[in-house]
Amino acid sequence: MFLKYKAVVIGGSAGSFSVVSKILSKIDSGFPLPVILCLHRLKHVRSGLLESINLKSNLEVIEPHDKDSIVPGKVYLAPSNYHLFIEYDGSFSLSTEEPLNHSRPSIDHTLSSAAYFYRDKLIGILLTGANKDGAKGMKDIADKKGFTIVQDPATCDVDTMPKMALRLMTPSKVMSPDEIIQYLNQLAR
Amino acid sequence: MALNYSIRELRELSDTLAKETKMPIDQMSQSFLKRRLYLFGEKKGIKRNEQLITGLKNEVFKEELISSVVVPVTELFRDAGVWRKIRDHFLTLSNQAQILVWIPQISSGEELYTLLIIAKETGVFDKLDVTAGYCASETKELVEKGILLSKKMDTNLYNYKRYEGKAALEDYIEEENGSLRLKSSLLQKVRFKKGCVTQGQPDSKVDLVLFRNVMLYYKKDYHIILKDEIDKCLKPGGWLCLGVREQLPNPFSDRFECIDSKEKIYNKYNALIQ
Repeated sequence: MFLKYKAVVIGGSAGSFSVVSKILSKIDSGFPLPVILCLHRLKHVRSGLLESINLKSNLEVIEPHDKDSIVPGKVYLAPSNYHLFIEYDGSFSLSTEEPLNHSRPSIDHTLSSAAYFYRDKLIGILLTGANKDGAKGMKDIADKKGFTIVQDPATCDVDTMPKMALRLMTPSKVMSPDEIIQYLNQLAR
Repeated sequence: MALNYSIRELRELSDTLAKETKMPIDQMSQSFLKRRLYLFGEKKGIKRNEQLITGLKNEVFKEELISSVVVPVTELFRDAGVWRKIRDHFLTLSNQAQILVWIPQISSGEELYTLLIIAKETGVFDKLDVTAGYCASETKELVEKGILLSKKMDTNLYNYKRYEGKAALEDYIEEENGSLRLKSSLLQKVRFKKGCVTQGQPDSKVDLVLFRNVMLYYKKDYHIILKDEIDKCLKPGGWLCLGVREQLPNPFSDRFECIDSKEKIYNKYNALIQ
């Protein structure tokens, strides 16, 4: 099957847990792309989030180790207190470098590095959240001709993050969570 | 516009930097090196590659560059669970005459001080002998000063609580000219050795190697070399602690056993028992 895209990267903060859970519970179990999640999370709580997301997900969700390969059909969650990057060879690399936008993991770091590696073969999605992290990363994806989706601010618990992105770039689509699910599922069919 | 490189330019530059600094910069992961050079360029107002290369003739500049590729830790007792395991390990070693520890690459010193505080609290401080490798003199000076960022104190106190420390973290901290600093008396069991990653090796084999969140910044192939160098310096039965999202490269099962997969603690096989 020919696929136009090679990966999906999703960023989110306040309110995004329920949106991500919903997306992963409705996504086709045969979804053919890797899904890379960078969600703001408590940096000293290493367990709990992964298990909670896995409960309802149709795809296996894992926290990658440094230098792990990226496998289609798997969901990768940025570990707490580490930045998650896509390395130039297409593997993951983790980092304890300084927080960006007061965040580690930083959504900008994950999105920008994915944009650099996947270029126009990337779908970037920015969900609800309370700060500006992710806006620059989305712009980087758009600059590399990737497909960008910003959650409709009207459907967000906290709309700061999508609004900051919309101020910085024009996404390919502004969508509600249901529309995002529909869009992702039609990719695989 | 600060420094920005293509992958090819970065490869060539990393070779030059490795030769000039005698640090394995050419073995660093490329995206990491690119980020650090970008930040360094911004800080120093460097706009062209040539400025960077010319600057290396100046020793102070060179040291600053080396410091910039070493990532600070910034919190004491990061990953409390690891430190609780090390505390228990210290207790099992307490009947030894000496407890030898090697930290191949210190950065901002929090991991070193955390270890020293644990040694104090387990009563093995007097037996401790720590070799701490550092890449740049600036790093060593920073560690010796032991300055703690006041904005990080809440995190430090929280981590110490999670570690279940015996005393109060404040017992190890003093105030000087409005700054908080870790007590310098803690450093009496530390010998600093210049050398990056595994260049500053200890004089004899050690009981524990603390190498947390350093391999992250090096290429996967280089991990094998690092593993072998650490293996040479570790006593049979000794422990190797990596960062919680790092892994020892395969194959390692002939030399090491992972005894805690969550905290990434490896035990070097005792050849006699094998």
